[in-house]
Amino acid sequence: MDSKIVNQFIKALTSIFAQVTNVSLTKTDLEYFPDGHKVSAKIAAILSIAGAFKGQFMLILNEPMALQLTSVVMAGVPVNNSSDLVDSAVRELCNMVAGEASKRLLEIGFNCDITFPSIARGKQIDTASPSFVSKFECEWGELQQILKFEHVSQIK
Amino acid sequence: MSKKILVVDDASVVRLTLKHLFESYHYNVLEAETGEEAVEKYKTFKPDLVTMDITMPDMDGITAVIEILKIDAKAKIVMCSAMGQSNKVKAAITAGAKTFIVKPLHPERVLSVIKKYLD
Ligand SMILES: [Mg+2]
Repeated sequence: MDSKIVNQFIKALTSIFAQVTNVSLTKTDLEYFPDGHKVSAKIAAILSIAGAFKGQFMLILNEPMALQLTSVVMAGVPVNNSSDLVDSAVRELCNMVAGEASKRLLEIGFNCDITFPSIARGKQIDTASPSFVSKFECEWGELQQILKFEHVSQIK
Repeated sequence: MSKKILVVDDASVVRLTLKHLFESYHYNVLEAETGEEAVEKYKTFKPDLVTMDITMPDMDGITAVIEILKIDAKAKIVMCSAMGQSNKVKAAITAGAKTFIVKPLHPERVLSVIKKYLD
């Protein structure tokens, strides 16, 4: 069930990102870390997942991409420095991706619920649980998505 | 007098975008960032329509719909949420929301829906 689940999040991210920004993401890597994964995150949006499986979903990006994203969401108004608005745009992207993934998951029989996302800045993140890390690229830079499973028993 | 819209979403970027959109069409807009705040503001602002997020800290949007309808059974509430799963849409409509728009929000779609319920 793991690859099916991970794929829904990958499809959700590429679809939502393109709809919101009109910029297309290319997946460059997908790796599985059975013992967890450490990453230093400039900006991370993190939310919890419950239901058919228990875990966390994270989007990790850098400052320039977050500013570009916010600017596009705000109909092109230039955004030059970080603010609550930038955090809110990153949080909302995470919320929309997880919402779209949940919709896709329900369609294939996994009923999941998500919490509202929180933002961490300049943190060393250690998932310390089985994690799938996907990397994406676009004209604004690199973006990472991490899907962390709370229990190894849920990975096949 | 211009019609009043209460915009409920925990994301400031969403509230700001909707506020700009509605104000450019001369609606009078008030914002709330949680379900609880929405219920409180509904009582005093008495909006003609509410746009309601689902995933928010403290009270979620579906509970807020139920609470608002207890205050005003004729309240017009349009869900604007990223939670497009069929079971969430059904729960929102069962709770009494008029309709459901799945995020990302497209301005033309949002406008056509709110106009349908306001005119
Ligand atoms: Mg929300």
